[in-house]
Amino acid sequence: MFSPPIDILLIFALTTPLIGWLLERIKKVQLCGVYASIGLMISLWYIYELFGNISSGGAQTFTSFFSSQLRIDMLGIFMATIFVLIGIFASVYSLRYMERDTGVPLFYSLLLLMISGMVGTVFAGDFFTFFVFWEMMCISSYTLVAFRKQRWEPIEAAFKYLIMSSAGSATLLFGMSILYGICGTLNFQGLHMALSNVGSSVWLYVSAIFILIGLGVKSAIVPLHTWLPDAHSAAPSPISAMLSGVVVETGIYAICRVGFTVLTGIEVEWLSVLAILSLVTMFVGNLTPLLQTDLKRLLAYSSIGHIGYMLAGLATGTVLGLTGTLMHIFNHGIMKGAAFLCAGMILYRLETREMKEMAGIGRKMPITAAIFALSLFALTGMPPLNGFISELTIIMATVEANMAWLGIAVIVNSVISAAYYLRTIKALLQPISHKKVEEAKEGPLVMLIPLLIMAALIVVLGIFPDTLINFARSAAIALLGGG
Amino acid sequence: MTIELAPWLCWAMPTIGSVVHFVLPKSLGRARYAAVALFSFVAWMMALLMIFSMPSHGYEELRGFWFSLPEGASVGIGILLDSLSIILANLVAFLSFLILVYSFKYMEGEPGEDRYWFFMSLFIGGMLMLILANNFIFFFIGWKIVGLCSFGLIGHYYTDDKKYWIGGPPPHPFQKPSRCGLKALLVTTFGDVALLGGIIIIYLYSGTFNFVELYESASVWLSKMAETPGILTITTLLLLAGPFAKSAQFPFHEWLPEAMAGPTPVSALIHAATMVKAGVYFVARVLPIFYFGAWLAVPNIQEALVFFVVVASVGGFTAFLAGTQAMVALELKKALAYSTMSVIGYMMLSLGVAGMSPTALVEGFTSGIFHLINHGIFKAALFLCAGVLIHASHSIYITDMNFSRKEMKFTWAFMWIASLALIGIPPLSGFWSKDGILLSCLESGQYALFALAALTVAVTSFYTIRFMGIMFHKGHSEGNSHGGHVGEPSIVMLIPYGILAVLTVGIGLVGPWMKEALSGLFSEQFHDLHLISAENVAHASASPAAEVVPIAASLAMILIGAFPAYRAYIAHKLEVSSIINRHGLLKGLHNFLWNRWYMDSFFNNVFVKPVLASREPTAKYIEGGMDLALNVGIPKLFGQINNNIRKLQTGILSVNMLYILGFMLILIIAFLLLGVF
Repeated sequence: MFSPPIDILLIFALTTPLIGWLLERIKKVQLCGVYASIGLMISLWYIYELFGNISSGGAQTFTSFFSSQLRIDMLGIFMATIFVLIGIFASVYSLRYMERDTGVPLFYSLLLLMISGMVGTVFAGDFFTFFVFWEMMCISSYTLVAFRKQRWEPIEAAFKYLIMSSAGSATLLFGMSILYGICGTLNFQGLHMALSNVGSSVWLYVSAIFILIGLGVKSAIVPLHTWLPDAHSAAPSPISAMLSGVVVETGIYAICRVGFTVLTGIEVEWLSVLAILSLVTMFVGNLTPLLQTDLKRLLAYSSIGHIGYMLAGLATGTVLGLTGTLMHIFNHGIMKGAAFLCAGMILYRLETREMKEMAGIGRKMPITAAIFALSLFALTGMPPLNGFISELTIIMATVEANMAWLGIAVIVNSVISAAYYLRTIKALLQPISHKKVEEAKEGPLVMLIPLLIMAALIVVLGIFPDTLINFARSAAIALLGGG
Repeated sequence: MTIELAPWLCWAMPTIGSVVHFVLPKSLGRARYAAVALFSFVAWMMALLMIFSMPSHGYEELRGFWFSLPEGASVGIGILLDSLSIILANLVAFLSFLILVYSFKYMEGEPGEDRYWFFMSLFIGGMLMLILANNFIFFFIGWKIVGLCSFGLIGHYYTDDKKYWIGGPPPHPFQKPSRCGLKALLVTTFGDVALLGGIIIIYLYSGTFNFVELYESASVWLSKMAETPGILTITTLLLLAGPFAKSAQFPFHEWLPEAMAGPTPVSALIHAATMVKAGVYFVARVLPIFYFGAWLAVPNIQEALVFFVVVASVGGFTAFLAGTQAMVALELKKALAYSTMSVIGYMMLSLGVAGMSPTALVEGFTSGIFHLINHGIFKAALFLCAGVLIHASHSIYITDMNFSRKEMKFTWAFMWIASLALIGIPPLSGFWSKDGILLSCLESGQYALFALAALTVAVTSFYTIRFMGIMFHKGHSEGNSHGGHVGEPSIVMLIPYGILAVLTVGIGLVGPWMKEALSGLFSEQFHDLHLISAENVAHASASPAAEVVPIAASLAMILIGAFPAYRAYIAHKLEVSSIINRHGLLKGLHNFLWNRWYMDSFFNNVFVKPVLASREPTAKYIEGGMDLALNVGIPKLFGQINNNIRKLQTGILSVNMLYILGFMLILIIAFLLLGVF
C-alpha cells in the first residue's frame, strides 16, 4: 500500500483496539502496549531496509491508493527514523506510565496513528497525500492531548490546540489550492517544474503566506506558538515527549520540503523572512521560561527556543545549515524526549509539576535525576553532548552563509537558556522540603530502560557524531539536490 | 590471543583494574587489592609479550579511530610500537607490579586504601597509555592522567594530620600533604599547558598529531616553520616546558622534593621510577624530528639546535643543582628526591648532547635510555628500602635513624647495592650508563658539560655515602631515638626490593653487552628513519683512548666525593658540624644549599605572594562591581523582559486567533518589503 513502514503502523494501529479488547478479557490490558511497541520496532526494521535500498538506488517514487503519490528519499528516511525511534521510547515508557488510565488500547492506537501520519507526511510525494497524512497526525494528536478527559486542563488545552491548528490547516489547504490553480498539479516535482517555468507572481506570494501560516502553527513559530505551552504540558508525558520531540519538527520538515522543493522561485525572500522569524522565535522561546515554575511548561517553552535554532539553520539555505537543522531535529528529539520522560517520571511519583514541590527529588530518584540533568545539559549545548554538535553546526553554517548575526543570536540564546536549565537542575538538588519527596523512590525499570538508552545516545552521539552527520548530510543533499 | 591485542591490553588492564576493588564485594577484605595487583601483573605479561613482537625494523602502528577534525586530520587511539616504547612499557609494567606487591603489605591499615589503589592502578594505565600512544593527543591524555593521579597520591593524607607533615625539623617550616599535592599539580599543569600550546603550533604547520607522520613529513613542515625566524624556538621552548615540569627539571623542579608527602610506594613508583621519566620519554620521542632538522634538512635549520642546547644545559645544570641540595638534606626521602632530579638531569643531558654533534646520536640516546632503565630499578629499590626504614624508626629524618646492619642484614645489603649503583661504582648497573653519558659529552665536544657532569659524580658519591653512613653507621648503638620496631620487614616487602637489588647487580655484570644491544636496536631504528647512514649502524666506535677518559674521570670524581664523606660519616674522623661552624664560607654555603639555592622562596615571592596579595583588592573593587552588574543587574533585566514577554501568553483563544491574523500581516509586510519592490 503506502510502503511497508506505514503499512505496518496502520495495521497495528487498527488491530490494537481488537487485541486490547481480547486482553481485557484476561485482565492483561497493559500488554497491548507491548504489541504496539513490537509494531513500531518492525516498522523501524523496514525503515532500515528502505535506507539500504535508497542509499544504493536513489529515491523511490510510486503511486498508491486514490492515485496518491509517494516519494521516499533520504530526507524522508531520516525523519521517519527519528519519529519511530522516539515512538518506541514513548510506547515502552507508557507501559507503566499509563497503567492507571482507562482506554489504554485506544491510547496506543492513537499513538500509532499519529506516528503513521508523521511517517506518511515525510514519505508523501504530492501535496494531497501530504495533507491527508498531516491531518491524520493532527487529529490523533488533539485526541491524545485530551486523553485524560476527566480533567479540565487537558480538555481546555486540546480545544485550544484544535482550534488554532485547524485554522492553520485551513490556511494550508487554501495555499495549496492556489498553487493548484497556478500549476494544475499537486505533485512536488511537478510543482517545482511548473513554477520554474511560470516565474513568480503575486498569487505565488499569497500562496506562500498561507502555507507558511499553516505550517507555522504546527511548528509553533512565534506568534503562532500560543497553543504549544498549554498542549505540551497538559498531555500525558510520553505524548509531550512525542509532541515536543517530533510532531513539532514535522512542521519544520514541511517548511523544508515546501521551501526547497516547491517555492524555489522565491527562495531569497522566503529565507530572509525565516531568518527574522527564527530570531524572534528563539528569543521568545528562551526568555519566557526564565521564571516559569511549572516543569513541563518550562520544557514546552524551551522547545519553542529550539525551533528557533532549527529555523536559523534552515534560513541559511545551505547544505551545511540544513545538515545542522536535521541533526538538531534528531538530537532535540532525543534530548527533549528524555527530558519530558524524566519530568513524567517525577510526575508519576509525586503527581506535581511545580518545581518547588519537587525540591530534592534528585536524592530520592538518582538515576532519573542524573538522566534529566544530562538531557538538560545537552539542551544547553554543553560539549561533549549531542546538542553541542548540532548547535555548533548551525552556528558554523550561519557564519559560512554571511549571517553571523543569527549565529551570535543562537549563542546568546544558549546562554540565556542555561539560566533556566540550571535552575531546574538546582531544583533537583535542593534540600528536601516536601513530605511526598521524602517518600518517593526510583521509578520502575520499564520506564527507566528507554531513558537509559536515550541518555546513552545523548553521550554517544556527542562523542562520535560522524555517523549522524553523514546521515543528516545525505538527507540535506537529497533535499537540495533532489530538486 | 593475537600479538596485536597485547599493547591494547597492556594499558587497558590497569585502567580497568583501578575500579576492580570497588566492584568486588567488601567481604573479600584486602584480597580485593590483590586483584588490582593481578591486573597490573597481566599488563606486565602483555608488555613481555610485546618484546616478541618487536618490529625488526622501524615502527609498527596499530590504529584505532576516534574522531576527525575539520581540516581532515584524524585523532585516534592508536599504538606505536618501536624499541623505545616497548622497552619503557616493560620497565614501567614490571616496576609497577613489584611496587604494588610491596604496597600490599605497606599500606595495610593506612587510611583511604581504596582511594590509594584506584589512583595507583589508574596511574599505571595512564603511564602505559602515554608510552604506547602513536599521536600527541592520546599521549597527552595519558600524560594528564598520570599528572592527576600524582596529585591525588601526593595528597593521599589529605586530612593533614601532623604526623604526615614533611619539612622541618623545627625551626624550619613544615609542609602539609594537601599543599604539596597542589603545588605539584600547579607546577606540572603550567608545563602541560605550554606543551599543549607547542603541540597545537606543530599541528598548525604539519596538519597531523601522529608521531610517525611527523617524522616522515619533518622535512616539509620543519622548513615551513623555519621560514619565520623565532617560531621554531618558541615551539621548542613550549614543548620542553611540559617534560621539564613533569621530570622536575630547572626551573620547574621545586615540586618534587615536596611530592614526598605521599606514601612511600607512591614516591617509589611515581616520583622516582616512572612518572618523572615521562618527560625523558617525551624528549626521546620527539628527538628524531629536531635531529633531522638540525643536521639532515637541506639547508640545515639552525634553530632546531635550540632543542638540544636547552635540553643538555638544563639537564646538566639540574643534575648539579639537585645533587648539591641532596648533600645537606636531613629527610631521607627528600635526599632521594633530590637525587632523582639529579639523575634525570643526567638523562636529559645525555639526550641533549646526542643532538649537539652529528656523531653522538646513538651513544647519547642509548646512554640516556640505559640510565633511565638502571635508575628506575635502583631508585625504586632505594625508595622501597626507605619506606621500611621510615616505618621502623617512625621518623622521616636520617639523623633520627640508627640501625645496625646486623638487625636488618638484607635491607642493609640491598640498600648499599642500590646506593653504590647510584654512585656509579663498577661493575654495578649505574656505572655503565653514567660512563656512557660522560663519553657522549666528550664525543659531542661539550667539554663544559662534561666537567659539570663529572663534578656532579663527586657530589653524588658524597651525598649517597652521607645518608647511608648516618643511617647505618652511627658507630654507637643506643637504639633508635624513637624506639620503633627494628628488624627485617615482612617477606612480601623484602622480596620486591630484593629482586630489584639483584637486578641491579645482574645488569651491572652484563652492562657492556646490554648497552651494545640497546645501541644496536636504536641505531637500526634511526637508520630506518634515515637519520644515520648504513655504515654507522655497525656502531660508531670511539678510539680506546677516548673511552678511557670518562672512566678515569668518573672513578677519580667518585673518590674525591667519597673520601670526605667516608671520613665524616662512616669512620667518624671528622666532626662535620664543628667544621661548618668554624668556617663562615662553609656555613654560608650550607645555608644556601639548605634553602635550595633560594629558588623556592624566589618562586613563592614572585608568583605566589603577589597573587595572594592581589586577592583582597580584586575581590573588593573588581569582583564587587562585576557581581553587582552581572549577578544582580542582568537577572533583574531578564526578569523584567520575561514579565513583559509573558503577556503574549494570554491563554485567551480569541486573542490567539488574532495573532494568526497578525502573523499574516507581518508576512505580507515582510514579503512586500523584500520581494515585490
